[in-house]
Amino acid sequence: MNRKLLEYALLFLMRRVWKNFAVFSVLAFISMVTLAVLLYASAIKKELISTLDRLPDIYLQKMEAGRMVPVEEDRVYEIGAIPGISDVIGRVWGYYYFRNAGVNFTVVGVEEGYAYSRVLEEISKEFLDFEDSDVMIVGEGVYRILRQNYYKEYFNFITPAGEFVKVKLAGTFSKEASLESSDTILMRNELARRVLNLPAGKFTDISIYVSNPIEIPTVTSKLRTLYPDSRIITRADLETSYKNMFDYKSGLFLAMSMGTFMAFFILLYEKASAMGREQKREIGVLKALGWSSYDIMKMKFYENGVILFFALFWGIVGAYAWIYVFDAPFIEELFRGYSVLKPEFKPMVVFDFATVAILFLVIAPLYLAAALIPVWKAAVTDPEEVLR
Amino acid sequence: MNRRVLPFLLFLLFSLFTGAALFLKIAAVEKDRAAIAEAVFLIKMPDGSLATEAHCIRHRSFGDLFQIFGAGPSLPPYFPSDFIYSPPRYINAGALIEPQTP
Repeated sequence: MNRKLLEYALLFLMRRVWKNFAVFSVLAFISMVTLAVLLYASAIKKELISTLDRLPDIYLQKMEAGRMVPVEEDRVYEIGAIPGISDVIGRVWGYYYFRNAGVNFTVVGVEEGYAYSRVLEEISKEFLDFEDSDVMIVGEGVYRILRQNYYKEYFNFITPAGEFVKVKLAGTFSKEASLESSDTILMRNELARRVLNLPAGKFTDISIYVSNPIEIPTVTSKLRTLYPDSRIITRADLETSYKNMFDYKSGLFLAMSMGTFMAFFILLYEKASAMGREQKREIGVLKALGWSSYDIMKMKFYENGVILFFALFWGIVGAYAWIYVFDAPFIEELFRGYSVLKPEFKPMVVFDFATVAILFLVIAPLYLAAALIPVWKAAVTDPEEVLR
Repeated sequence: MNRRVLPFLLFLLFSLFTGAALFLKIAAVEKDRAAIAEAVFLIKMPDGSLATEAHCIRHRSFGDLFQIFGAGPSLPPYFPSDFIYSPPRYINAGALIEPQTP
């Protein structure tokens, strides 16, 4: 790098400091918005994908006329006999619509006497004895909604049969797990059956654990043959679904902002092509003094490179500050939807170098081309003609 | 070195200092992954609780591409959270709306 040339380029920048500052600001803003959206999507995706290994390997759901229906208990024992399967759990879960707030809670049952006590003590606060009576542990969002509706110690579920089931509040899930548990109500299986009106001998679906992950496709195909009426979802399917969901949203936003990108570059190109008489004269003087076109291009490259470097740097700093210091105002609305039961969560920290590199590769060539092509045109013109 | 280049150097130092301070602040607030993993192990349900306003939307990973309305993940027009603009605020208000009398 030629230090003297760099110094000269910096002094050149100072001559039209406000014009250059405007270009820097717009470029930094565009980089910041784009990166912030991608970063927020990556953070949610990372958190969900990092929890995948704690989920069952396979879910089996029974379908009738395209809708999910309860599955018989016998299937749990039949599946347990398939070689390679280490554990099979019939699950009771469903949605409970709370009319007052217009939200759906996810009611999840856990097996009584199952070794959950330690986990429950760890993840919930204000813990009461879970196995003692009709109690529930709720997510942070459910707790908020219940308090807003004056249910501070208990909640009255109205079953599909029209009966009231009074359930005491035993604790809340940790705020750390808000993204995963905000709308969840956890209770014993028996109680969940009463609330959801699910008869004994039936489960909502079945979760299956396979000892050897390589055998998952074989087990899946066995299950499909055994139960043609079932929908089988593997952990790989869930991963694909997570990626689709957030790539779709961030992609949609980016597609919409492509117009802004293009408008910025067209504006920049137009401004640079219509180079002022003064700027052309400067280039002409430099050439008359013995500078080659290569030197002029190099100096202009340094000049625009400095703007690009600072703009991208501040774009990255701005995006991280937006997401992690100011808790992503506006962007969170894009991803959280606008339901009443919004989870209040802090996004997981992501240092996504690939995204930053892609952003650089999209912005840098376009910006440098838009800034340097008009300079090159002026630099190859005869200096005598320019100076006249 | 030309004195007029000094503002650039100061701006560069300020940028690096701000970037480093932000990096240290963010790196210090790493989430408690153990609590998240335990919660997921207990609930055994996929997806984030990002949207709860439509039937079955919460656990949409359970759906597939050929699902009927209400269970599938690929019917954007039916799932309001797939849109980036919001519907009217009164959509969930129900009985809370009070008619205005002139």
